[in-house]
Amino acid sequence: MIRSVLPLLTLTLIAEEESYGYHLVERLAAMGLDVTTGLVYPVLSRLERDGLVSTRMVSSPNGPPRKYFALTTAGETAKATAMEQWRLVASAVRNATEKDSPKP
Amino acid sequence: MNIVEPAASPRRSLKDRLLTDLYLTRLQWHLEAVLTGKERRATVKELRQALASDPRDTTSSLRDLGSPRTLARQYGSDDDLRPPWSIGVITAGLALLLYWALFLTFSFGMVAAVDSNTPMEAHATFLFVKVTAFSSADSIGLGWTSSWAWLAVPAVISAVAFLLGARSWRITTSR
Repeated sequence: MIRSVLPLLTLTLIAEEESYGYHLVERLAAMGLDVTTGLVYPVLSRLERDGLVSTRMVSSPNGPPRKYFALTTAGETAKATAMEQWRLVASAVRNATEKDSPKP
Repeated sequence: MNIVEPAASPRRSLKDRLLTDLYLTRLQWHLEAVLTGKERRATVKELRQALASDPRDTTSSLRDLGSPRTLARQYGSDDDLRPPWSIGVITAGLALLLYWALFLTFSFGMVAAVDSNTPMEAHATFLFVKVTAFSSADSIGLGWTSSWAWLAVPAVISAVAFLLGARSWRITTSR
């Protein structure tokens, strides 16, 4: 289930703050989500391929340069669309599961 | 635009670099099924940079990426898979090695048999190749005779292994 919402989460986090790959994993972990670099890196690659994020290399005093991701205009649009779809799905799931919930 | 100060990356030893190279090589084989050559090279280069700048030790960062096969599938955009020709070549090589190992085991087994019953001559056939082993009081020998099987049999085994290993049937469905 995490895999299906990962693109939306990634776009949202990048919109808040430009990040490099591993930092995004740390930010997702801070939200309580157990995601690996093996899940996040391919998502970032796909977002870049689709033109939803732009990238730049930033040199670091602590090691090799890192690739930072920022949202493009197309990414903003995609994020808004995905957010709307999420609201619809979340509402449908909530309505369906509330019917199954035991009455107090 | 805020830039987060990244954590320091540990120094990579020779063993770390070899582990990383081995992982990325295996990943390249599997990426052949889902990405074009240019996309594949760019992906591997990007991952190499990400691993170099990962603040964790190499073993942890490679484990977090998952198996090369699973990671490669994540990079694919659809279910159409290409034949991984590199894996086909490796499978063919391993099949050929196995064939020669079995052939030599068979042959030396015959030598051991005639050596224990000197003087003796033994004849047998291993996949269309005639094998002769002989021993006498002061000599022991081994020979093979075949007109075509010595080349055709390993060639067929390699070809079949290559086609199976490369999942060559995907060529009819891939983009």
